[in-house]
Amino acid sequence: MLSCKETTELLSDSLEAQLPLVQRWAMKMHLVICANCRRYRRHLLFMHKIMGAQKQLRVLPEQARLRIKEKLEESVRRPRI
Amino acid sequence: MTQPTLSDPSTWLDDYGDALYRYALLRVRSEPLAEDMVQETLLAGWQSVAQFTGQASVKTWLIGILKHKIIDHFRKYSHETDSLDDFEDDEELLAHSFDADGHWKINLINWGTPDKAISDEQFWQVFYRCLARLPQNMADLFILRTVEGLSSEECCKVLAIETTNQLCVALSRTRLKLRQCLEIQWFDKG
Repeated sequence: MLSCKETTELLSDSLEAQLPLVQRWAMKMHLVICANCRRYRRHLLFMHKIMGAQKQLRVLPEQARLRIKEKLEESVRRPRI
Repeated sequence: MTQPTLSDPSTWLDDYGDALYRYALLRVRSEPLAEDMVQETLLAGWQSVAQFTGQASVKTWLIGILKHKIIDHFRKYSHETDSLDDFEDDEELLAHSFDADGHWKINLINWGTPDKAISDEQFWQVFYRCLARLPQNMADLFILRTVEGLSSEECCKVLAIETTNQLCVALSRTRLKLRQCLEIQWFDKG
């Protein structure tokens, strides 16, 4: 039987790549009996969603984009040292 | 394919400006500073474009340049980092979380749904503070992997991590740490 610590590691790994069947099965068995680890899984998914939301929430402001574009064009025109 | 991109840095701005900005913003937590860092990164990239070997993608290469700028920033203004960590190292956090058999020593609390938190400005403040409390390489890894979706291989390259196994271990520790901080600083106070 997996420990909670091992389960938390597998839960994290499962967000990176698909786990081998044996590990997936062991993890599921543990989650059935462990409320804390089920909660941990929900917390990981929560953080995942929060991080994913950054993509919509934070973009380079248009004014800054124009300013940087100007600087870049200036730099391209100037011969490099 | 890379040739036209390399000859015109304004295409870098179009293609990677948002990604660079988000990474900088999540790390330095200041919009004007993050904007400046994007500009400096692109200018530095243009100045050193001859050194671009094509081994990494342009995006990964630029992220690498930005990573060094962020490190320099914190080196210069180290008093700005929030080093008041609840847990100094991984081992301490692990010992706090699990008993000798690897079972939870603490009770995890119900966080509710993310949608509620996403629309709460105060939650974001706590979230960014918790992110800033992570060790630098952990924060880099977590942001690049989960926000920008860099592949494991790209993350390893940018952050000088040797194997994907080490990467998985680091991500697992990072999640444990960030979770703990959010729980203590936000959900337990709710």
